[in-house]
This record gives sequence, structure tokens and C-alpha cells, in this order.
Amino acid sequence: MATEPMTDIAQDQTVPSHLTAQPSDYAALLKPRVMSLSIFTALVGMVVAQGPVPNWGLAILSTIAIALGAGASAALNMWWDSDIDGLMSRTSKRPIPAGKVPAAEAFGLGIVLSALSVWLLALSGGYLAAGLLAITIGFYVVVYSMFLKRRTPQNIVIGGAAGALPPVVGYAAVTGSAPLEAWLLFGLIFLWTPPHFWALSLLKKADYEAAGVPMMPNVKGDAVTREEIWRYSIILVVCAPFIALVPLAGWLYAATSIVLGVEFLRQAWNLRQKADTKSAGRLFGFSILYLFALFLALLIEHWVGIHG
Amino acid sequence: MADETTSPEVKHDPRGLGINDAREGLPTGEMHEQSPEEKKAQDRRNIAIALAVVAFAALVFATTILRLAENLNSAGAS
Repeated sequence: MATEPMTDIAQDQTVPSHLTAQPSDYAALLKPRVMSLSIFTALVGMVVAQGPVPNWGLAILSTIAIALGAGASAALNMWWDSDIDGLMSRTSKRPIPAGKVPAAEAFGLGIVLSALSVWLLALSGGYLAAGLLAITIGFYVVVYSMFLKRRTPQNIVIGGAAGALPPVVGYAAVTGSAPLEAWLLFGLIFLWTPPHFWALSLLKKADYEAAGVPMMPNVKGDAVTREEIWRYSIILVVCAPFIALVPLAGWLYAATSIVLGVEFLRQAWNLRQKADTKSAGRLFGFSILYLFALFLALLIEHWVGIHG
Repeated sequence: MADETTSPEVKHDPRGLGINDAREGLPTGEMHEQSPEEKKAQDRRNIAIALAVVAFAALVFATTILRLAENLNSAGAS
């Protein structure tokens, strides 16, 4: 008698796919592509810090800790958003909505990795860097994912602070301080985030509509979003070259930011005038290249010794 | 009186736990025989966890050694 219900279950249900989950499914929870951007910007933050990097061994260990922290916040974000990820084409194949990893395990992985990454960074980069990493994880998960994302179309404007912090964490890890120079790098990524993500939201408007996420195009409309992208692009492109006025950057950075800035504005203007998804896609792709090129210019300048 | 075992909607074990509990990894009293594919996947996950633990221990060890060396150098310099 007692065994009958179990037989019923065994016959009627297919094997849950999480029983055959691979380590790569858990690695996917860490959003490796987003993690690589955090690693790169954090590394640039370390290299551009005043003076030579005092200990490359500790700097590399700090970079690994920052990467683990970025992965931890991604896993916690996927845990929190697992209900809406399944509704959007862009995110429906993520491990939790795809049924490969139970949400509770993603939460556990995120919490454990958060603690270990902050601890490791405290050992290798000091308490200031570790504290900033903890704030980054907390801001991304609690402030952005839990409070802002589903409440306001300004979600990515304020939430962008989390993505902008890695170079400050990197700077603090090798110097033990976070002066104005470090926060200029923060400002650069912070101003870059709105046009970048609003271009994406124009492309994925239907997805966000289905999931009930109040992105700018869904709340204010496409025309207002294109106008906001244009305004933020002007602010970004005008402000970016001014970093060259401090010893942090030199002529290579200045030239890169001006040349690519003109192209950024041209693309944002095209999007404003043409109002098509192709222009939004182009701006989205170019914005990634723009940020990467600016940080690469800083890296080369400090590598070769031609900064400031 | 409805027979619990034949209900098309609710699939319970005798203690009142449902199929969703099993999916969430909660105890249901069920016994599940692993298929070869599941066993292989679990072995891979176990190896990955073991490697991750060893890698993290190595990171902490390396950090400790580098910190010690740095402190010894600065103590020697002063």
C-alpha cells in the first residue's frame, strides 16, 4: 500500500534534468562573459594605480577574488530572477529556468562564493578592497536585482554603480586606498551603462514586456528611450576625455576617447533619427567596443609608460 | 472517499509530501535508482567540487605565503 504512490511517481514523471547537471551548468551561473568584463576593468584599475604594482602575485590573487565575487553576484541574481528569466528569450536557457540547476543550489553557490571571495580579497588586497567587493555584491543583488529592477525604468542607471565598482576595487587592492582617480574610472563605466543597456532594451522590448520588467522602452516608449540614449551619450562622450587631465591617463587615452566618442555620438544620433532595431543593435555592439578600447588604452599607456 | 493513490492531480507519498518536494531536493521518502547517466553526471560534479576546494585551498596558501614574504621583506628593510 505504502509503495503505490511512489510507483505512480516513478511511472508518470520524467527524470528531472538537474540529476544530470554538469559542472559547466554551475559555471554558467557565474555569467562568465560578464565576469570577464569585471576582471578586465579591475585589472586596469590595478595597473593604473599610482606607482608600479607592488606585488604581482598578490595582484593576480586579488583579481581571482574579484572574479569570484562577480560570479557570486551573478549566481545570486539568477537565483532571484529565476521566475522571470524563463519568460525572456535572452535568459530562458539559463541553468535555473532550463531546469538544469535547482534555484536553492544557485542561492547556496552564490552565498558561499560571496563569502569566500570577500575573505580571499581581504587576505590578498586588504580590508578596503574586500569591503568594496562586499558592497558591490550587495548592491547588485539587493539594491539592483531585488529593489530597482522590477520597480523603476531608472533601474540600470542607479544599478549601474555595481558594474562600475570593479576598477575601484582593483585600485584599492594594490594601493589600500580609493582616491579620486579610481572614482573617475567608476564614473566612466557608470555613465556608459545607460546608453549601453537602453540600446539592448530596445532590442529586447518584447522580452521585458512579457516578464513585466519596467525597462525604459516599456514604460516611456521607444522615442523617449532613444532621446535618453542620445542625452546620456553626449554626457559620456564629453566627460570621458577629461580623465586625461589627471595623471591617470595620457594622450593615447585622450585620442581614443575623442575618436571613438565621435563615432559613439554618430551611432546614437542614427538611432535617434532612424528609430530602427538595426541601429540599436549597432550602438549596443559599439558601446562594448568603446569601453573596452578606452580601458585598453589606459592599460597600454601604463604598460609602456606614456601616461600622464 | 477519494483514493489518494489514484488522484490524477496530486501525487503524494504516504507522509503527504508531493512530487514538487522531490524536485526541490526535499526528503520525500522515495528511493531513486540512479541511471548510468545520472551516476556519471554526479561523479563529474563530485570531482569538480573536489578540484574547486583544492584550488581554493591553494589560493589561500599562496596568499598567506606571499603576505608572509612581503611582511618579512618590509621588516628586514626597516
